[in-house]
Amino acid sequence: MAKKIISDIFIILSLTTNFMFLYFPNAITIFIALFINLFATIFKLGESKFLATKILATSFVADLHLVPAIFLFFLGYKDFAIALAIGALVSNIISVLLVIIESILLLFQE
Amino acid sequence: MNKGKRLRLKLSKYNTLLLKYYSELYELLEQLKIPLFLLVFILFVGTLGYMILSKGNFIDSFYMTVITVATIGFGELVEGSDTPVGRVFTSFLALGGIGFYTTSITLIVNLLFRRDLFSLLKYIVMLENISKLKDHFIIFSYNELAEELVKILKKNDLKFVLIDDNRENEIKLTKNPYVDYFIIEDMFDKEVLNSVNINYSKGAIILLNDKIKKLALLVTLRLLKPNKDEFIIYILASDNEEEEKYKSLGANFCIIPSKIISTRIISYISHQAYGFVSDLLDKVSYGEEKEIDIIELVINKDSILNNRKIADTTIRKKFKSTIIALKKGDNLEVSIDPNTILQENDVVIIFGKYSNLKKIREAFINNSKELINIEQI
Repeated sequence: MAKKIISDIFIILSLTTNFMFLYFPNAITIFIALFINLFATIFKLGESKFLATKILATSFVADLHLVPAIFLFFLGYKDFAIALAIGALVSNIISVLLVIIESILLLFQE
Repeated sequence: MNKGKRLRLKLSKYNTLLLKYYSELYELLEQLKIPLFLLVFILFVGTLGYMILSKGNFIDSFYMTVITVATIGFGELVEGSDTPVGRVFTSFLALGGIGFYTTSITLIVNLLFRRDLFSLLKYIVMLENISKLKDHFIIFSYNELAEELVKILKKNDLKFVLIDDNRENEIKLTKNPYVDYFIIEDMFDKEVLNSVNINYSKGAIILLNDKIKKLALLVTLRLLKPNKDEFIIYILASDNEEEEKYKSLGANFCIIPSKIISTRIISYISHQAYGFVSDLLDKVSYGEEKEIDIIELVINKDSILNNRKIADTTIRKKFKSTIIALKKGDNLEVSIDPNTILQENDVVIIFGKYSNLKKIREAFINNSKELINIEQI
């Protein structure tokens, strides 16, 4: 259960930090958004319940957006980085929705 | 209670073998969690520290962290790292980071190569494909005979799965270009048979050498699939007595290799003068000849060929093939009169090029008008 709480916290944190960067795009916010996303993906590894693999996939997609985004941001292509972060945000929204669906399914199973 | 019914084994709904390998994959990913976390954590701490020192230069900070923890150590490249605070930070990062970095890289490499993630993934994909197979054959045991058999099965576009319980054969099977699907598991296990989709398969070919194993397998298969017409079992026998035993236990066809080889030797001896002909017919009937083949078509009630003269069919003109024999009831007619009328349950035996015969078979299955002269329609 503790594991699930930690991974859920990181999934939601990755959405909020991602939004934080889009609201206020600077060096620290993109840095935090990227690493929180990476941790969220790692915590989801190896889980096999219900939608875990789908959540892992969406979280991984967000990483794939944010890794190039941070390098582009510091190389001066800020617009491009923001566009990529919007992509990551969409992916993070989907993963949060999946977490909610998973919780509801678990509730029914109990 | 009906004994047959009571004895019948039941197959489960789920592919447990696939689930087993999936859980192995999840376990492997779970083990990757800690080393990956350590790696990302050390990169996070290092980059953050240098970013604070250099007032937000991410790319240089990231680079400095990587060269420090990977023991490359090009020097103090980031602004602020040559100050006393920077040097203290670098010292502690190197002390903790190098250990974290090397441990996690070693663990990741070890997990990926020792457990071989890629072959596990490949195996899972193969099992997924096997579970979708229909009308396939299941071959039990991989030996010299199986090696020859798979070549011919592949040539004839017949689908098959090979099951063997010897792990040493795994490399051989992976390298064999004719084998698309195989499983290295206990072949008597009901779950294994379930995962090769035995419910939708056409039949089994038992090539085992061990008599006891052969018997056990035959009985297991017949208990799972009691209908002889639905599931055909081919088995090797060493003599007539064994053949009888297997047939009474439910085998459809028993093959005695020594008998087949000796009849073939005798046929060569007795047809010495016409060696080519007997050799050709042998090769054609056993599917060894690539260009030429023989097919049998059974005329049914709704077939387009029912109640038609042989002369009215397009087999000779359009498909460039020849009807060499016709089986009416128990009689086999080898001298065919073009005015003979084809009737229900007749078996037409056609000789021709492989490609043409394939077209005839397709037209026959689809009941296509192509098989009849236009004037007759």
